[in-house]
Amino acid sequence: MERVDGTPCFSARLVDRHWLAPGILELRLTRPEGVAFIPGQFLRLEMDGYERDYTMVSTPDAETIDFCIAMVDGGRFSSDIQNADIDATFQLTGPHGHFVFQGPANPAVFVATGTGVAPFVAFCRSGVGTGLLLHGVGTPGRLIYRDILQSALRDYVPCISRSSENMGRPDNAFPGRVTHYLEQQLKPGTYDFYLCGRGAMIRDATALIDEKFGDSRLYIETYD
Amino acid sequence: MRSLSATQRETDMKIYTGTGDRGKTSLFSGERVSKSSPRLEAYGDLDELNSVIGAVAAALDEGQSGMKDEIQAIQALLLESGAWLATTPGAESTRFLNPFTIDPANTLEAAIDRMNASLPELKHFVLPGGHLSASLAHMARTVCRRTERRVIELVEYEDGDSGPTETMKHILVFLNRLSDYLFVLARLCNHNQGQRDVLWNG
Repeated sequence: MERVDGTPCFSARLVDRHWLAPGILELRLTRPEGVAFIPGQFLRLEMDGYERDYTMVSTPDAETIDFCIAMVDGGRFSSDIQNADIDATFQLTGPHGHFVFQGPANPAVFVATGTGVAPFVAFCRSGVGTGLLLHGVGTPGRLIYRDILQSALRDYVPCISRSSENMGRPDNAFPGRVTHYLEQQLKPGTYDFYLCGRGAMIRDATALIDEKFGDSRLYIETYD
Repeated sequence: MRSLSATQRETDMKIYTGTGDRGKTSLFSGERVSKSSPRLEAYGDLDELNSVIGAVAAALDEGQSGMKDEIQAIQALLLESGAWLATTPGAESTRFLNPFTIDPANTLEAAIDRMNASLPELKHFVLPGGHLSASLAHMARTVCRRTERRVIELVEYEDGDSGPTETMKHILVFLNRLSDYLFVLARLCNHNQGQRDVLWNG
């Protein structure tokens, strides 16, 4: 099926839902016939007349389409997702977005905060194996998909911004924000930067990249 | 500010990102470039052209919906050419762009012939002006000429001896035909309003 604007439209059933970390759910939906996407793209979920966009953490050939979703206290969508019955049907449109791996022309630096790591999980699962990934979180407990990312990428650096949180901190963790890592640790050079996170991180990281890594390329996926 | 999930975007497009405050912007293919670069000049002028063409459509009478539709189709094509101009030739990102063929230029030629058939033969230079819609079409024509020059500058600046890509060649032909289309459209706008061409008797 297609919408009037030509965007493909699908329905999918909820087959599994589990917590990845406190406040972060992973949702698995059946993969409808004909859904094709490039790792890093997102689908628009529609429920009761409102819509939210989520990047798939699964690969295009997987049996399910998987999303990780941060819950918001009092959020209508969060509440509906948590309470939806297994087998509940969701309407999806897409795929949308252009935040995809651009090839190995320059060393890749993937920068995520929170569940902004989702497209990079899809990259890793689809075979992207080189590059540095900085995953910024407040506390080590929110380092979702750590095993996948660590085994796929040679350079995986969790960036833990709350210095008081030492419980469960990985040995290779950087104590500070992703932008501090870029400023203090990344060697001068020409990179392909992929930023996925909130507007403030994107703004700060872009300013740093312009200043220190001027010939680099920059790909951005932002949300607020 | 609502904070939802990391990969969750508001379905409204965000207008500002704060990433262009220091004189640079991102191309669709990822490069950070100065806002004064030839590529930005080219697609900035293309954007201006599209806006003036929007004003032409807005100045048409209610009864000219067929013409408005044709102009909107041209605006959509200008957006598509803008996406190509915002992308470095050969970049991975081009896979997201619709192919830009020679067809739109051919369509414009057919439209020019159709409009010309209803107009008196032109034997003198005309002064840009007349009805508001015609005057705006003349403005669009001149912005179109400038855009074409900027795209040529870009091609010469970036491609050197290798010459333009097929897509850029098609865009250049499209822009060239579009300024002719806008000239004839300006005459047609005056004609439809019962106004004669403002002839130059120099």
